[in-house]
Parts: sequence; C-alpha cells; structure tokens
Amino acid sequence: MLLAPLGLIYLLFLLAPISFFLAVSFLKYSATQLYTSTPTLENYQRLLFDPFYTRIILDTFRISATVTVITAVLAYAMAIELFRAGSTLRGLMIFAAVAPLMLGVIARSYGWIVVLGQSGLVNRVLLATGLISSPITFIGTEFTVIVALVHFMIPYMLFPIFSALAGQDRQLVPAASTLGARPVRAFLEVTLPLSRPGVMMGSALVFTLSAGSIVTPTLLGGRQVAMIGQTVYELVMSTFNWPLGAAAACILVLCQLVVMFLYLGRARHAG
Amino acid sequence: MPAEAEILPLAQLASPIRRPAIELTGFARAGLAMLVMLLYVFLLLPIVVVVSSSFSPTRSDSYAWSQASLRWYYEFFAAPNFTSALWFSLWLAAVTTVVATVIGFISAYGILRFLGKRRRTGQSLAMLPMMIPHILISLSLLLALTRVPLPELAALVIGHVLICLPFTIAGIVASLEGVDPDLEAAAYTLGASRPRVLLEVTVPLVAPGVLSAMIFAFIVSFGDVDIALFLSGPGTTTLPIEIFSYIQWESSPVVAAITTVQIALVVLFGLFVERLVGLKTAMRI
Amino acid sequence: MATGAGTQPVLRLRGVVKRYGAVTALGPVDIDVERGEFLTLLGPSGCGKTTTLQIIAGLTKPSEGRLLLSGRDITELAPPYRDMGLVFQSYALFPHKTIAGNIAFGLRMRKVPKAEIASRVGRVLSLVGLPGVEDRYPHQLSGGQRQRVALARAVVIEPSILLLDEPLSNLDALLRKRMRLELRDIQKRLGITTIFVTHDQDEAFEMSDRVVLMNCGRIEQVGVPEEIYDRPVSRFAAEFVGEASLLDGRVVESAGRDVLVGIGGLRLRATSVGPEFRPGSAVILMTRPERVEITETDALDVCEVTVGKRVFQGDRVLFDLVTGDGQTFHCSLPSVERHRAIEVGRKIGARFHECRAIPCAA
Repeated sequence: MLLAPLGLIYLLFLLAPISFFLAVSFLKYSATQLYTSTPTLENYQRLLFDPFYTRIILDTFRISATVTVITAVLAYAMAIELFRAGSTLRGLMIFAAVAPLMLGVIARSYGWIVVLGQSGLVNRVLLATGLISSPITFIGTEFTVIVALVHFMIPYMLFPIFSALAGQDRQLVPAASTLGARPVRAFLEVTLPLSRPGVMMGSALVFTLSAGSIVTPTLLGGRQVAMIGQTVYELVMSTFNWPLGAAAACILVLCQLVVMFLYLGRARHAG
Repeated sequence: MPAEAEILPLAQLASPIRRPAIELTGFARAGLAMLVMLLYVFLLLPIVVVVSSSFSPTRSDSYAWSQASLRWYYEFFAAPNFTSALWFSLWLAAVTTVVATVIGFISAYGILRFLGKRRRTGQSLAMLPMMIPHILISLSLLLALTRVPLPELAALVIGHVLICLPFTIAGIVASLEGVDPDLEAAAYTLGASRPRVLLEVTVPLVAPGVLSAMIFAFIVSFGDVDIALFLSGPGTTTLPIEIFSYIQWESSPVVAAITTVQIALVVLFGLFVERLVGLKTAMRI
Repeated sequence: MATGAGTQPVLRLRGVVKRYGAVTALGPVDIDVERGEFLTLLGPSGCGKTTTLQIIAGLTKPSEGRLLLSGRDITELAPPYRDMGLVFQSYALFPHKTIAGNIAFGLRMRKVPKAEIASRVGRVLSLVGLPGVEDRYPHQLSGGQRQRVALARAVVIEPSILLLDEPLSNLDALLRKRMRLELRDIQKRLGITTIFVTHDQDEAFEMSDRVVLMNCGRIEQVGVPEEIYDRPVSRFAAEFVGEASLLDGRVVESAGRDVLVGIGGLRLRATSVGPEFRPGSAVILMTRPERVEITETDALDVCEVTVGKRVFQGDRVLFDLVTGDGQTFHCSLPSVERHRAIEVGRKIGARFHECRAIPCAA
C-alpha cells in the first residue's frame, strides 16, 4: 500500500516519541539522571500549585487572550477592506499581509527590536517631536511582546475571517437594507454573526500559537515576561529537568487542545 | 415633501445587486480605510526598518542615504558562524524538501487514487504534524534520542520532514486532483504499463504543482525555529537559531543584513511560484 | 450484420457479476459479440452498462465470471494487453501532448517504428475528418474535434474491439446527430467490432446492428432494434424504447400466440411477445401511439373511446383516449385536418393495431 511509508513515519517518529514524552512527564526527576522510572504526579502538582508556575501559566493565558482579542478586531477591519477591494489591489494586499510571515519569527522579532529599542525609530520620533524627554523602554515589557505577537498573528486571523466574509451570500445585506436596516445595523445583525465561524477558527489558531511562543517573549520580553514556552525551553535545555519540562509542555498542549475542541464544538453548533 | 420622501427609498431599491455586500456610510468608510492603512504600515514597518538599517554605515540606524554602506553584508558573508549556518540551513532545507516531496507524492497518490470514500479522513490524518505544536514534536524527538542511538542531525532532518509533509501532501493532492483519472485509464488501455503511465501522463501534469509544493517546503524548513531550537547542535545549527543566539548577546545590523537577504530570497521564490502555479492557487493549502 | 454461419463470436461474457460489498451492481450477465458488429449497451443510468464496458476493458475486475476474446480467456489480463481501444465520455486527451502525440501514444506502446507512426497518424486523422491538426493541442480544438481525436487515438492501434462510453453525450444536439452518422460510417469502413454504451434510445436504434437493453444490472432483452421496438419482452423494455400505452388486462381467449385481451368493456386482439398465455392470465396490453387509427365506421374491432387530452406538436397531434372504465391509451396522429379537428370530450371510434401482450412482472 502506498500509504505505508507515511503511516510508518508518523507512527515511528511522531506518535511513539510523543507518547514516550507524555509518559516521562509522569516520572520522577533526579539530578543525576535525565529521568527515573518512578511514576509520580509531583511534576503536575508543582506546575499547578506552586505559585511560581501558576503565575506563569496564568500570564500565558492572559497574554494569549489579549493578543487574540486585539488581533481579531484588527484583522476583521483588514478583512472588510480586503473584501471591498478590487482584485488587483486585493492581490497586493494579500501579498503584503502574508510576506512578513515568510520571514520567520526571529527576523521579525529583530525588526521590533530595531523599531522599539532605546534608539529605535519610535523613540527617536517621539524625542524629536518633543513628546517625551527621555527614551521609553519598550523592550523587556509585556506591551512589546503583545505588540509583536499581534503583528505576527494578524495573517493567521485574516484569512479565516476573510473566507467567512467572502462565503456569505452577497444578497443578504441588500435584502436587509430593503427591510429597513441601515448599514451599521445590517453589519451587526447579518454580516458579523455569519462570520463567526471564521472568527472562531482564527481565534483558536491565534490563541494556540501565542500560548506556545518561545522566541518572541524571550527576545522582546526579557526578564519581565515569562510564558510557558520559555519555561519549557529552560527546564529542558538548561536545567535538564525533563520530567518537569515534559509536564509543562503537556499542560501547554492540553490547553491548546481544549481551545481547539471548544472551537470545533462551537463550529458544529453554528453549522 | 411627502412625494420626495417616497421617491428616495425606491431609488435605493433600484440596483440592489450591484451594491457591495458590506455597506458603510461615508464616515465609517473613511475611518476604516485609514485604520487599515495604518495597520499595513504597522505590518510592514519592521520589515522596512530592518531593510533600511541593513545599509547603515554605523551601528545606529539613523543615517543619510548618501552614507549607505554594505559593510554589514560583508560582515555577514565574512563571519564563519553565519555563513556555515547559512549553508547548513540551505543543505537541510534541500534534503528536507526532497524527502518530503518524494514521500508526499507517494502519499498523495495513495490518498487520491486508492482511498475512495475515506479520502477526507486520509487527508486529515496526513495533516497530523500541523495539528501538533511543533515544540512537542521537537522535544519528543530530542527525548527519543536519549534512548535510540541516532545522530542528532538525523532527528533534525526527521523533525523538518515531519513539519513539511503536510505542505507537500496538501500541495500535491491539490495538483493531482486536477488530473482527470480517465487520462491515466486512457494511457493504461492504450498499452502503457503502470510506471509508464506515471512517467508519461501523471508526473508531467502535476509537475508545476509539485514544484511549488517543493518551494513551500523549502521555505518552511529554512524558516523553522521551533524544531531547530531544540535539535540544533554544534556544527548543525540553522541560520535562524544562530541569529537567535547572537541577538540575545548583541544587537548589530548584521542581523538586518541577513534578514534582508532572506527577504530577497523569499520574494524571489514567491515570484517563481507565481509564474508556475499562481500564488492564489498555491496558497489554497 | 457481419456474421457468417459458423463464425465464433469475437467476445463472450459468461456469468459476469460485479459486487460492491453486499450490493450486486451487475449480473449475472452473458453476452456474445459477433465479429464486425456494432453492438450497443442501452439502459438508464445505473443499469450497469458502463460497469460492463469497464470490465470488458479491464479497468474493473469482475467478482465472478469469465471473458473470452477470440476463444482466449482474458479475465485476468491487464488492460495494456487486451488489444482494445476505449473512447471515454470525457475524451481523456492528454492535455500536455499534441494531437499527434496523443494519437501516437498507443502506437509507441506497441513499439511501432517512428516513420510508420507518422504515416498512420496522418491517415487516421484524415479518416476522422481532421487532416492537418497534428501539431495542435487539445485545448485548441472544439468539443466535436476532440471527440474525433479520441476516436482516432483508439482506432489507430487497430484493436480487436472498439469500446465507446457515451462518447456523444457532451456534444450539442446538432453535432450529436451528425456524429452518429459519421461514427457509424467509420465503423463500417473499418469493419471493427464495436461496443457502444448510451442511455439515448434514438441513438442506439440509429446506429446499432444489435442492442442489449439493460436494467438494474441485468440484461432485459437482446435483439435487433426493430425486434425490441416491436416485441418488447417486459414493461420496462416497452417503456424505455419509444412511447407506449400499457394497460392491465386479462386473457379472454387464446390460440397459440394470438390472444384476445379484455380491458374493461373492450376486447382487443394482441400477439404475445413470447410465452403462450392461458385464458384468465393477467397480461399487459401494449400498443404504440402511432398504431392507433381513428375511424367513423362501426366494426367489431373498433373501440368507443372519449378524447381526454389534446396536444398539438407541429407534425403530429397527440391524444389521450379514455375507455369506458377509465383506462388511457396514448395516441399520436399525423397532423392532417380531420385529426386536428378532433376536440376534447368527443366520443370517437379507435382501432388499435399490432397490440402486444406482455407478461406481467414476475
């Protein structure tokens, strides 16, 4: 069967290692070995009850949720304009929205360092216009991380919303207007609710990606910002605490799965 | 007065179908347009700034155009850590692309020609790596290395192939769908053996789609961070990871130069894909 | 027809069955195809005609049964080795090859030398009426032209059997009519045994030497077109091929194949399409609309009917004739003045010629 190579690869290199990884999160940590073979729940207990870690988890949620909401609003605005644009302009707009994606997250984070750094563009403009007297420190704050994440996520939100808008019957709004609805009303009562599946899909995607981000908070958040992804990285690469790191990664993935299932469940209802 | 008030609604009814599906009054329209323009500035700002500062003659990024210099580009190509990372990234992306395309082609063919009704399930299952966070994939592979005597490089290649497979499979499936299965049946009844049919009919017809899937895979592998973050090692460091380590200690416009080179490469590839298949079709992945 | 006494059929299907899971889509089916004949598989969608063709071509394996080509068992043989030419409904021309490349394909697979390929391609293109298009590509040709190229490609390899799967369905009505004649003409000139699949009854009748009428995976009737039209063996056959009036009746008297059928108050003479019916058996009385005669005379075989519906169709006028007990005959008369003058509601006399008695479904 032609699909055997694919099945084998996924089984051997995807499912098996991940199951093993999952198992390790339930093993006891030891300073001398990578992991012991004693089953335990202490890793999860630590992550869920130690205030140090709970704060990280909650911060991650908070940041991801903020990013998702802001991105949804901004991407929606872009989607509307994209939708109303003629086809040449539309092609250009799509390309401009997608191009940053192809750069990779590190290059874009660096871009933000240049823009928001001490001697970066924004500070220089603000100083030059006299709005501030000394440079604002952007790098190393949660604000910057959120800005950079929103910047990164907009394309991921834009396309689901745009397809949802494009898929609507073009005569619904004219129909609403003949029934007496003014443009804003028609939008709120017809277009917006119908585009919900697209917004949900984009939100689920953006939330998942934000929660799992490592590079952006590391480069732009400095000491102030700690998200689960960074924690996993440190635990595994610096401390070599595989069990705890694995547990943290599993909690992250679990949350992402929950979000995905919520979205899928809602999507089925909306249909 | 009453007569005019009646005429207005009727005039609005005159051409309901021509109107755009999202209607906005003048104020909202102007506001929205401005907002989105600002958003595009926001989106493109970092890129523009980076490209611009790559030409700066000094470490600072304000300069007059007459002073533009290529020194950071020279530094990039002269720095052994960056150039070897660049070569490695290119090599890795090439290997990943070839492997992912071959497996992708076989799998896509199997899905389309042999799964029949269960095709949708097959396609969704093939997308598995895309639905799993990449951190999980790389961490698991790294962990597996502690028990299985594989070189770390192998795990890196495998990790990249895994994340590229959904792209190659989806791209080739999309391309293969456009090939009428009757064409293969016709060649078959005319006397061609199955390998002959593939060679003379199937492959030539999906070639543009396969090529654009390959380019996508190349870009995905080249730009990957999540997998390489955990599976890179001394001598096997990809360019993004090299930059990542560098930025954490220093911040010099060398990075801007590297980024600009990357942008140029991606734009080039994008144009290539557009000529082959059309970007719109390719992005329907 | 091209059969001589004692010639073996070039293709035989014996007990061919095709199952998909628990569903039997086709069979069991037995067909003999004579050398040089134009045989049509006719039937509604889903009747199994295309499946049969695919089994003959080797694109589908039968669940049971055997295929014999000139005496040789080819049931297990893969399509490349079956020596058949197949014309697809969608033509399936290779878009990336020129017309010459398309037609040459089968010849190349048979290792025909290059020089000979070129001349054969040229000749077959002339045969189908498309000289000079060798270097064009399929997308540059019209639908009708593509259809001829598909035919040329299948025919140039000089196969034992030519298979055509509804090749004319994608053409507009006018082109279709023209192609029917041309196709039949080419087939006769080449003398190639041909199996044609269609759901269009007119097409089947116009082109075929024999027709295999299929329904629900089984063969309903096999015969020359006239025979099927004149003596359909079942209700389905009577209705699928042409217009028919089908009424339920009972045999009153019988003498061999001739029967007297009672329908309501009427007594009508009919010929059985096959079996000998005994008095009292239920039968279906069939008559064709064009076999009804309106008459003023008052004879024994004239039935009194009331005119129910009237439709003017240009060259003919159609009527529904209703009997005393509410049964309806369809009638189609030439559009002459005395027929056009007949009004709805009038009582007239009708004589039904050439009625047939068909067995009720088993």
